Amino acid sequence: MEKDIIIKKATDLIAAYLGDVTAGMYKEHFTTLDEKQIVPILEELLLEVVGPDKAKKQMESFLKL
Amino acid sequence: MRKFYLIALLAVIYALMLVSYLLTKGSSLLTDISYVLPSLVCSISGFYLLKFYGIGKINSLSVLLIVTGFVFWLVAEILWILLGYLDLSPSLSIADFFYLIAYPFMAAGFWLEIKKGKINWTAKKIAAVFPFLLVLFYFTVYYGIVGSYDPELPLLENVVAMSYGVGDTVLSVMIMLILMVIREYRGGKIFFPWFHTLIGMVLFVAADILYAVYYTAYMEGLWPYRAFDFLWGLAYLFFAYGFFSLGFIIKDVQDKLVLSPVKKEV
Repeated sequence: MEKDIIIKKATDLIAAYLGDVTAGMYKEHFTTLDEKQIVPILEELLLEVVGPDKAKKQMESFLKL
Repeated sequence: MRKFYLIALLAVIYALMLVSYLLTKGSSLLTDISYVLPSLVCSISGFYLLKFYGIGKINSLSVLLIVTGFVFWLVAEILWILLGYLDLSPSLSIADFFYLIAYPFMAAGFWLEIKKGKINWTAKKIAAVFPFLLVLFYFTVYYGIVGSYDPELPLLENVVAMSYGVGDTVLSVMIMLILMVIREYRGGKIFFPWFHTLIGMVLFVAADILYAVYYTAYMEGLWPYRAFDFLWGLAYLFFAYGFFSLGFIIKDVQDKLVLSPVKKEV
């Protein structure tokens, strides 16, 4: 998946739970990272914020896209 | 530590309300201030959350709508008090406009949050929710809508009175749907803030229903009916606790990111 697409989808997910300001901060952060680093960071964040059940569902949808 | 100070502050505000009401029994400047304080703190919590959540894009719309509802309720509470000082009846007044207009904003905000949750409705979930929804509907429709109709009152007064019941019925549906959404957040940091917000909604609807049932006694300032204000006050403080807590969580995530040592591998 292209990096830009990964970042867009990741930040959309972050915005849904933590708002646009946080999503914007993560967008800037993700652009400085390799593609491979983005998904684990997203997963860890979701686990912390929305809990294991919701994080699992969201990551499954995210990885299908 | 932050949460400790928040709980302490909210407890002091509630204690002030209880003490002022119980000591004065009638209306006074102190009871009026203590009546409005919980609603004011609730609105402040909404602005605090919006500061870290953001305003202006679609994802922040749900919170913005809910906070707008809080602000309308604050304006309504202030007008309710002011009209009392002007010796005008606060019932069937501009205060009603602000109370009622808050409902669609709150409902829209919670609906957008529910949509984010993407509930996967199964027969089991529907069966679990349906009985509670029926009970809630019984109270909001029977007491809030049907029960608030008085054939001796003018049409406009009846429409206004019954509109509160309609608003509470809609909020009751939101309560059940949000419960289904937030149960999936178990183990996550945002579970409890939304759960506390939910408690606030339940208390608010309960107070509204009691107001509809015992409207005359409440408006005459009789005890224990005046104590319905304690329920509204507590509802606002639960909203405030939920939204301040959510704001703390988001701020912590943002602060952690700023300090994050993760860098691109060279």
